[in-house]
Amino acid sequence: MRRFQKKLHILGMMLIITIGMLTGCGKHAGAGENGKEKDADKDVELNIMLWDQDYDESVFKAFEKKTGIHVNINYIDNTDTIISKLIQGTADYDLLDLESAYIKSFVDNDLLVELNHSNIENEKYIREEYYKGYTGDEEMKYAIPMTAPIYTCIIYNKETCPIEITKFEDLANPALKNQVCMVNSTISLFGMALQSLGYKADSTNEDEISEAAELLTKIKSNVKAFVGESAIPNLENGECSVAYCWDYMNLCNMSKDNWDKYEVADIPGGAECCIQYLAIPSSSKHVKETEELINFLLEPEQYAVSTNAFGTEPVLKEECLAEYVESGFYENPAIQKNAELYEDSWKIAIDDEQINILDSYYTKLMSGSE
Amino acid sequence: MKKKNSEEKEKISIAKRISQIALCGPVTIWSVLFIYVPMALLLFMSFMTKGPLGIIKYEFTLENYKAIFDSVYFNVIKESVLVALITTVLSVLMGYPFAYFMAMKKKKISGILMILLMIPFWTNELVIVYSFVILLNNSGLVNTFLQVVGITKEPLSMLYNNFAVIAGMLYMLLPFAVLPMYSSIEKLDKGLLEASKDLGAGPVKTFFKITLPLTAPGIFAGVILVFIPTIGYYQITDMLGGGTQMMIGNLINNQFSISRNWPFGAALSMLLAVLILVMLFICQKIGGNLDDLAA
Repeated sequence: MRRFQKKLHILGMMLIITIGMLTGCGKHAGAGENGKEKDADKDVELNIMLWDQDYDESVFKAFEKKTGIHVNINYIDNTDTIISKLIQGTADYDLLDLESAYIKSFVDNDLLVELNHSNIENEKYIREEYYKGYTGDEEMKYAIPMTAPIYTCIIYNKETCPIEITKFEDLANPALKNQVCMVNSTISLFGMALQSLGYKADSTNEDEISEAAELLTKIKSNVKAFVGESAIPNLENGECSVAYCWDYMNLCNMSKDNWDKYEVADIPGGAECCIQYLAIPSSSKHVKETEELINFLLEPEQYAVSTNAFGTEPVLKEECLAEYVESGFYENPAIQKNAELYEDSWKIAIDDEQINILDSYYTKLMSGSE
Repeated sequence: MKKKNSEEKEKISIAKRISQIALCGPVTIWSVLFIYVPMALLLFMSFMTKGPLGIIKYEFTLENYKAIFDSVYFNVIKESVLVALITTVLSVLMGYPFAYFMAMKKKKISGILMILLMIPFWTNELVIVYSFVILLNNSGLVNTFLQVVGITKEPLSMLYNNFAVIAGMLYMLLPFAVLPMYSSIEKLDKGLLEASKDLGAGPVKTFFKITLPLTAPGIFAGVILVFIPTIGYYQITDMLGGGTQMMIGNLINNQFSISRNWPFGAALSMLLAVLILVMLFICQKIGGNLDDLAA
């Protein structure tokens, strides 16, 4: 009998453990993805998806304090995460920090709502040259720019790079054997190769793509490393003297020594331009409150907090922001260089057809198969 | 009396069944929810079609499995199997003598060696990989040391090549090879070795005729434990190999991210699972014992 009781005790404990495990995996109705409580009848909560190091969290705390609207932040490391989460429908999001290249796809697939610009009056502070929509949203109905462009371009170390780089094809020069570092992004690689060959970066012509793949294969023989994120460690530790990457602004922010040490190669075909936009997904149930948040983020005083924290180039006018950013911020040569790059830069809208074609060329390039 | 006895027996058998369910229940529920159901979903998805923006269209197709045999993707699979085999063979070749040495030592010494062997498990994998980057880069500790003591004038290229990849893989996976081999060698009846010696066999003959055959199950277990993670590994090839070589893990990752072709990614994942099952089957057929994996 005692044995039976003991077994019943074990059974009870096991049941408690099982129930505990299963309830721990569940999500309360109406909860945000990060598991925080959400009660629709009480305060409004906004679930937002941001790239890490685009916005300082203290800005959202200030927004919460001012409006009483709670903000749940989910950080992402690539746009595919946004797409996956929206497709999966794992949570309702109210705000997306969107790469410009994806705006067209999102608009075409009805994933964004139209903005009511009268609720975003602080957009008047945005620099004129950047106050414009991107491919797929030329009239800026759905997305509003929040960072100045970041460029994927060729950066070289003036002290160690053995040749003068005047075109993208120079990266295939044998003198650069094992000295080149490149981003591993399909679009950035093939887009630049296509541009340098005189084609459009968003080409879906297989002959043109094949030619671009040939050029990239030649360059690959000089590539020491492909990187998914920053190429700075490879430039800084001396592994590579040249990098095709998006790090020039960050390099210049890291140290004033880098202002003289690194240069952006001036090449035909320009540089890939990427702008971060804010957009509201069509699943949002709090459009007005989200627009209030966007408006708050564009207040020069709040905007400057993130600029000071991460050193990204601001999209707001200098005269509005100057008093809030750290002194000397505008002396950074990357800001001047970015202005030069903008005119000759190329912008791309991600297209399913091109992605499908590029997949096998990219796999072939990266695997080295014939 | 008889009736009472049979009631008692029935009670005991019910209690036994309840306790069995209680013990296995949580694991079974966990496995069904988080292993079998996702695997079934993956299998289902692998027969579906990719829609715009990666949305899955519920239209049956065999195209995803056909695409695997496209030479571009098939070469990646071949390359991954080759890298996994090289790493496995090197792990066994390096691990076996160490396991043998450990098994032949006193408990105290083998315990210390075991702790040293387990150290990689105590550290996060990313930390280990970054440590390799710090150690091996051009201005890293190894190159700085070599130049300071005058052994080299220029930094040696030790990062972003096959040497770095294999060194990283071996560091991570060697314990998986050593542990089952150690267990197998330790269980070996040492009297058989002495008998072999008494009968005139030399150490080499004894090793090949007695030690190796009797510890083969441990070797097979080591092979499986190293081969399975290696074939799906891609962080090490990315971070230490410089991403210049694509592995099946990269390919699957790309399909679920950049290409947003989840059905094809699912088909590749199923292929990976099948490859692993084939490996287990082969090992069992040629003398391995899957129970040794528990060692």
